[in-house]
Amino acid sequence: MPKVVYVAPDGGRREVEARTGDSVMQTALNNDVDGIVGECGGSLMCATCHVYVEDAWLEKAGGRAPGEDMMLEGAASQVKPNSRLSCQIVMTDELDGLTVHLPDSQY
Amino acid sequence: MSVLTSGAATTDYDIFSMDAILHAHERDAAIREQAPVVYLEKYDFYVTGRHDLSQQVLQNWETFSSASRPFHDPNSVRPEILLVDDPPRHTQVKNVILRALSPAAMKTMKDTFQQQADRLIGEIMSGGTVELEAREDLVGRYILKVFPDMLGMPAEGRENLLSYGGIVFNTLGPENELFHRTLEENGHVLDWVGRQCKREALDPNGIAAQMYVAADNGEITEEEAELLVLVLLSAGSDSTIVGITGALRGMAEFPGEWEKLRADPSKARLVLEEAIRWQSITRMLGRVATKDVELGGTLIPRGSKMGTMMVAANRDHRRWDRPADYQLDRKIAGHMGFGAGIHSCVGQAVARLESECFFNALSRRVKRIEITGQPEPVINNIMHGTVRMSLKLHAA
Repeated sequence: MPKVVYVAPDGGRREVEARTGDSVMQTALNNDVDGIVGECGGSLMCATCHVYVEDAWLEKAGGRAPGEDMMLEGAASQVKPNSRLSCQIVMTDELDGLTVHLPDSQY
Repeated sequence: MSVLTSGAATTDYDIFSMDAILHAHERDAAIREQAPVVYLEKYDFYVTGRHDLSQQVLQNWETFSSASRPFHDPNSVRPEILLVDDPPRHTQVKNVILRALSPAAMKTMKDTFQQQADRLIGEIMSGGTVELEAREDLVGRYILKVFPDMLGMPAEGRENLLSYGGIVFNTLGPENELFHRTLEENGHVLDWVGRQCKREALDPNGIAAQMYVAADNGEITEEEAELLVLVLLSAGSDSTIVGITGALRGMAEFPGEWEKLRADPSKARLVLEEAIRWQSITRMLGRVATKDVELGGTLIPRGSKMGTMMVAANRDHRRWDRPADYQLDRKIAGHMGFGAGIHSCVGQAVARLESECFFNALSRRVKRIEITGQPEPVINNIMHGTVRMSLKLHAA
């Protein structure tokens, strides 16, 4: 199973195993990773699963989904070029080791 | 019929009878426990009350399309826009209304909502402990102030928005007595709404007028803009009031949760979230299968109508620990109180902010919420919850 690494704002790292096909948001929720809320359940209707994708993974994680930019505008923390909504990143074997940094707050 | 029902558990129970509406939690749970998918003989469609299967249906619009659904009527008085379309057109139209109601747009409304909540609750609690009716004296006053203000509507006639919400939800169900009665009794409401949705009736600085701006920009047609305004008028008042009233009920029935909120007001954001899991506002959402598909071990033939039973799914014990308890600290992500998938509630960011500001204000002024009379259930084909409830608010 591919792994995801979540890095908290204080630098703390959580490495968890993801089910292929689950989103990075769902993987966080399944594993009680703090710092990802996912209010809308992955429907692209909120901005509470905001993450910063580590640069080395940006390309593999793919571009933002249609509608993702609009939601990111409402994110509580600063939006950067590597900002993504983690509900829109679906785990595959190619993403094994994906590292995302968590923002200070989600709302 | 025999082909359609092969392999599926069936029931002849009328899920839109008065018995079912009055006892939705028990009756819908019985369907959920009968089988993963149950075929309704009376209405010729399939339903599921399971959380996981409802998610599967709602998250997969390509297989479970919104292009039709049980009781779909293209000539309905309801605004059918957004409800019965699929991408790509759905996305284009939805983006116009979603932009106006997005979390980013709501950031600009936060101070206004909080001021209005503080002012109203300050006024209500000014004489200390008070007895009142939840909808009329408290929640309705708040929502009918902040929401139509935000849309840019005049102050007169706002109570019509409540009836309009009821019409829209009732007519999503079968053409039973409730369906016909809501139309007979509310002809004047439809006339009023028909006038209010026009470009000239709206404050150009309000959010509703942005639908017409999008039409001017060529993103949508003038007709679509009017329909989107109707969506705004139908979906943001009655259902939100029922949701917040449900939250008050949850807090009254589980007073320890109110204590938790009082101890940590930052939890105000969570109050509505758990409330609409605990008492789902919508009883059923409908879809149509675009191909033969297996769901929970049952073959759903292509073209079949399908319903997800939200009251049941939001209390499915397979997914939720102690589902009948209102728990503020519950890990709530994955509830379907706003639906799920691309057709989930387009105004959810508005409702979240309205509720957050409301409970932020209330928790600072009220020590305990007490129910002083038997709460009255919503009597509606599709909307579910508590409509009226006498309360005593104990001053902090």
